[in-house]
Amino acid sequence: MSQQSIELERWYARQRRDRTLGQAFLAEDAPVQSVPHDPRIEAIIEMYWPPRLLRGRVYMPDFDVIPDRPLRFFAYPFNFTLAARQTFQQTITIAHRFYWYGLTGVSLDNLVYRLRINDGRTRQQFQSSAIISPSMVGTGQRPFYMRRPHCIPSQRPINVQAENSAAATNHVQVVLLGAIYDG
Amino acid sequence: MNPNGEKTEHFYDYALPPTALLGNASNTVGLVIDADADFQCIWLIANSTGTFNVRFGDGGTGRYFMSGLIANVNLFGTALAPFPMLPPYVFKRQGSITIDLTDTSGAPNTIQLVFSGKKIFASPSSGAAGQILR
Repeated sequence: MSQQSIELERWYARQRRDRTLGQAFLAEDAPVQSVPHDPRIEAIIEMYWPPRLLRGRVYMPDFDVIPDRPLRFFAYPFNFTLAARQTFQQTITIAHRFYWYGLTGVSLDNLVYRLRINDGRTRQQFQSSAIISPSMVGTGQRPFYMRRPHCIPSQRPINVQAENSAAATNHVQVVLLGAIYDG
Repeated sequence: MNPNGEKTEHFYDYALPPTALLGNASNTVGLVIDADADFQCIWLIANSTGTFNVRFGDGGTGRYFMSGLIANVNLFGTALAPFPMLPPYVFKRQGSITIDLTDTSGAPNTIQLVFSGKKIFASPSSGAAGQILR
């Protein structure tokens, strides 16, 4: 047998030994997939290949607070049009039980703003003072993930207060990322 | 199913064909899921020539994933840094993804959205060519 055929036989033997197609995909000589080498993505792949629950992962610790129910990704956007140095508060009533785990935000005018978020019913504050946007929100490419998802009950109002730090009009959008029960 | 009873899966992207929007225009488009497999959406990626707002949902159930339009930079990433949709959502085969787009740049805008994830096949016989079979 040629060296090539010997290597091929060994490769097939390893596939049979792996027993599952899923492991074959993760084998060293598995077909190259166009997945970026990012620890976050690898953590997500490890979670969902084979399928696992979203809890107790190194990437998102303390996510075991989310119960074993079918969940659906959901996002609540807050839109602001702020005049120079203006402060404005917007309230959204959460329609479903919402496990809030991340924040993204953007100023469409590329200006700085400050944020303050609190629970509209209990008046619970989520920070000691208004926080400048780069220190509080991420982007679609790098969302800010909270250390522990916060459960917001159904029909609970959430207040987001934005303060325009610039001397010009500032169009701001802040998005609360999370998951709701599906069904 | 493979010998261990697990479903066969492979990486797959559903890409919205480049959609041209006039300045401040809106459009609703749909992506149809193939009949051969369910699709689990894990990452959101977008590329455009201008800023836009977007809202998308499961066309089969009519459920959206956000309460309103969201700016593209808040919800979509790039191939280098994709936005992870957590938890990943499974779109049923022959279903669809409904997408509402609104240009906010004020100029003609070409948008391409990519829903990246994996196809979930019920049995190896419906898998892609070249698949390892027992």
